[in-house]
Amino acid sequence: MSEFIISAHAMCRQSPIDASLCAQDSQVVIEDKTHTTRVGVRGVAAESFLKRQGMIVPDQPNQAEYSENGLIVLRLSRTEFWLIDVAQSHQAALEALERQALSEEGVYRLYCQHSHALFELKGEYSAEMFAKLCGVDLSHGAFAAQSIAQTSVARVNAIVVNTSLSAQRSDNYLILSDVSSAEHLWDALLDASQEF
Amino acid sequence: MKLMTCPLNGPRNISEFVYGGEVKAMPNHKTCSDKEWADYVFYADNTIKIIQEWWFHSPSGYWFIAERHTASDEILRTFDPSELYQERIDFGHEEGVKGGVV
Repeated sequence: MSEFIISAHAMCRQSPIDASLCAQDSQVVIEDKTHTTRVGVRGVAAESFLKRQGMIVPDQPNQAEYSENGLIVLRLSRTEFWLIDVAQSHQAALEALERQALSEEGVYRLYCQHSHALFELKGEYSAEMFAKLCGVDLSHGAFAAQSIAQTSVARVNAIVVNTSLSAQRSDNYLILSDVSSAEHLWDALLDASQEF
Repeated sequence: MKLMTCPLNGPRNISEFVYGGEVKAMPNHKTCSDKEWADYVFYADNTIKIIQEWWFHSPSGYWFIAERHTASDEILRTFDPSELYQERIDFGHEEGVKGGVV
């Protein structure tokens, strides 16, 4: 069991979301990215391990590092990191990194591939839409690009990441939530986005 | 709405937090008496004072410690457990004892 690689067999993954239901006229576009590859590591040596693998790691908890190549590094606490491949273009690298983590002292893998659903939100009214669902202020002034909020969204626990790129001048967010409540959150997001 | 300040995430609605009991020293369960263990597991002082309590921020899976006044219910301070606990407490291994249910 210790040889089990979480990020492997990407083609076999399924999402609980029926994406055919997401056709909508809203200016807030919601996409289901649950099937894309992600891997988490935790432990006192996790930060140094990722740096040795050539990753750019955020300095502070609740911050994200990313570039246009689609790989996003989340720092969720002092010792916890998630790597998210939204563009699904780093499969081999993440699989190799995960294999490497097996033999590292003080680095433990996290099963965020199977435990969480992943949605991507785009559109300039995304922040206004969040105001309907979330108690934390995620407006432009309060929630800058690269920020992470771990809080309650539509009454379920969620990790909200602002992945906007200033060059593109468009709002972009990721939402990670427990996979067992994914359908509820998906419906809540679709409902909240209708008015925009 | 009641708010609590999580040391990791900042101010959050109180509904995001789960109470984890008073902060108290755990006796060595291999050597302490039943009375000492019961006192640790089941009993609290329950007097009017400022106490230290474990709290859990559920969306981030983060345990921390809060100082709260038991009468006014005011939360005076919250902080990371590393302020109090620097090392893992190990009660050692017992030779020749097999644990668990077969």
